[in-house]
Amino acid sequence: MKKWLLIFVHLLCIAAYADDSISFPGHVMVHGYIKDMQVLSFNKDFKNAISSGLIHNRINLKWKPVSNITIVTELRNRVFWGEEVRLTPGFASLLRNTNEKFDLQKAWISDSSFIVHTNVERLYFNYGNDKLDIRIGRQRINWGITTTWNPNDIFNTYNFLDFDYEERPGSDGGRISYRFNNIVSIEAAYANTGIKNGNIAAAKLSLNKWNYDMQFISGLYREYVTLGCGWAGSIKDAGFKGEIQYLYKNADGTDHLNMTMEGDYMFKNEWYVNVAALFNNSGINTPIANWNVADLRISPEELMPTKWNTMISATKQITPLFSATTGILYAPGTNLLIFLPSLQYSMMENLDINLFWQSFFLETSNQFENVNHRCFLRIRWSY
Amino acid sequence: MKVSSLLLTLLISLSCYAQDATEIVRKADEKMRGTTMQAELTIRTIRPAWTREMNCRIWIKGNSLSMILILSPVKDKGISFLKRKKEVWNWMPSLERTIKLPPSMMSQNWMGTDFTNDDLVRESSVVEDYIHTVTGDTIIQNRVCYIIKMIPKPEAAVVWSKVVVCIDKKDFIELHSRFYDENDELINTMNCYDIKLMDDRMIPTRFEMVPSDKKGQKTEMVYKMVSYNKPIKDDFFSVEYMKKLL
Repeated sequence: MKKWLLIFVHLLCIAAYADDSISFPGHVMVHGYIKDMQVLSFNKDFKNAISSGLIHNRINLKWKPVSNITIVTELRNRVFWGEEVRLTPGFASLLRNTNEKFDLQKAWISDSSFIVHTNVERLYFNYGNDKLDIRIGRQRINWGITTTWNPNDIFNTYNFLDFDYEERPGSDGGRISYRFNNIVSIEAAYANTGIKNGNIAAAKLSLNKWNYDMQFISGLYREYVTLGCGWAGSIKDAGFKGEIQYLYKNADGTDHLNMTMEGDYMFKNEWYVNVAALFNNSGINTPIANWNVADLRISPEELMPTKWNTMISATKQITPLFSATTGILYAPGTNLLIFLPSLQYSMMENLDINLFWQSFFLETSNQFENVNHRCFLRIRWSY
Repeated sequence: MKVSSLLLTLLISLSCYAQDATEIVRKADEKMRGTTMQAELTIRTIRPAWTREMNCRIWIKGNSLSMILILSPVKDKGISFLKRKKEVWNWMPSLERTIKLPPSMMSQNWMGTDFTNDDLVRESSVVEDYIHTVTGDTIIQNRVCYIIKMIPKPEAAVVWSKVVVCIDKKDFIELHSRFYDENDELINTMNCYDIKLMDDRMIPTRFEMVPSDKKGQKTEMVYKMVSYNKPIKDDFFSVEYMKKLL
């Protein structure tokens, strides 16, 4: 009991010491959020409604004992309940991030329809000076440039449908970067995924030339040799970005090529429009028999289960507190269509409410029909 | 002969007047910006039904380099913006990623305020990108001011098609500005108040941007701290540095 009390007092002291201004050596910054999300899932034609709930808390701690050194710990605590938990076999076992080597997660309670789960999302030591940056531990190695799909993000791919996980998963490894000047920098990273022949090691050269950010990547992704490049620039006033990643695995002919291109533009009436296309050479390009074949558990090998994919999203700020977004993803070969509207409203300075919708349509048995719908209502308090 | 010499005199006097106008704008601009500027400021977005406040820190070097770091509200804390010449990047700490913004965002309202990106980080130069003409005098806050019309040069990529500024004759302080669109319609009016000694100079410390067609709506920007002409390395304005500001 005494031990818990001590920890509680210690945490209180840290929170009291946390400052809202820029951090100074010796300061600890604490921030995060608590989200409550209610989910309703429907099958075809809005039948068989299933409900579930999620309370999601993130605690981010950042300590700078001296100006060059930063130590970061981030915890993700989640409480799940409801029918979806009950109806999904092994729900708790699906909560672990698949590319983490060390098991730093704990399911405190794992009942048939109620789960309390904690994961250490980040735990790293960082040394940085004007030129050099070294980071060791669980961290996010994010090499993506574009918004919707990121072929260059080979360390921990992110599923764009998982909107509630904005921080994205981490990797257990190390990263070193060196900046020659404002134009050229290099970075090398290694991640141990804990899977046999599953480690990732790659280097990245970044350049800024002709008003374009450019990057070139080469390395080893699991059993593949990989090469990639990405760019971000503009054509007139519109943004123009892209990423290409090629994965080659010896003579057995298995290779993967993911390419994306994207343009974005902010119109004078405050409509922001983003148009993206993705090509996945090993994706499905013909109508499929049933929805379960369209597996959306994506990886750097396949960022979509389908070959050709397009996504248009538009955001309109109706007032500075209220905005609406609509996204439509369409894969022509399979006739897969995902409709993704959402509303965002800031109720108070640190209190936001969001409504997200995801509807899936697919051509099966020569018929284009709805297969699945999900509705999410989320309240978020940031601290 | 008389007519031509009269015309010549008129032309010379007109060009001197134009040069004076540019010089006045240059002095006012130099007063507000210095060679480098670092400031901590509060931006208050005011609407009939609500008000929101944001605190940020800003670093500016010349017209081509600037950085903004958001300090509050907490949900946005650590978000930063970097502008280097025509390129703009946004660092999102929660996503741990840098997003390059399309140039079309420069002319749009920044973070829900009535200030555009360009108002804050000045992609355009009020001195280099405009042709300046003194059109008259006026009195604002008991100070005698020049009224100067600024029309963008044909090659300049600027947001406004006309800007009218009022600059105090004695201390070269910009006290009032009006921003017009391509249809010569007044879009925004900026008023500057609370002249105080900040660092080594007297400057206005409260700026109010009022959109002309939206009743009860404005954005206030208040300088809490400003320091001028302290050396900032060009290296500071880099994508790597924008991640390390907090």
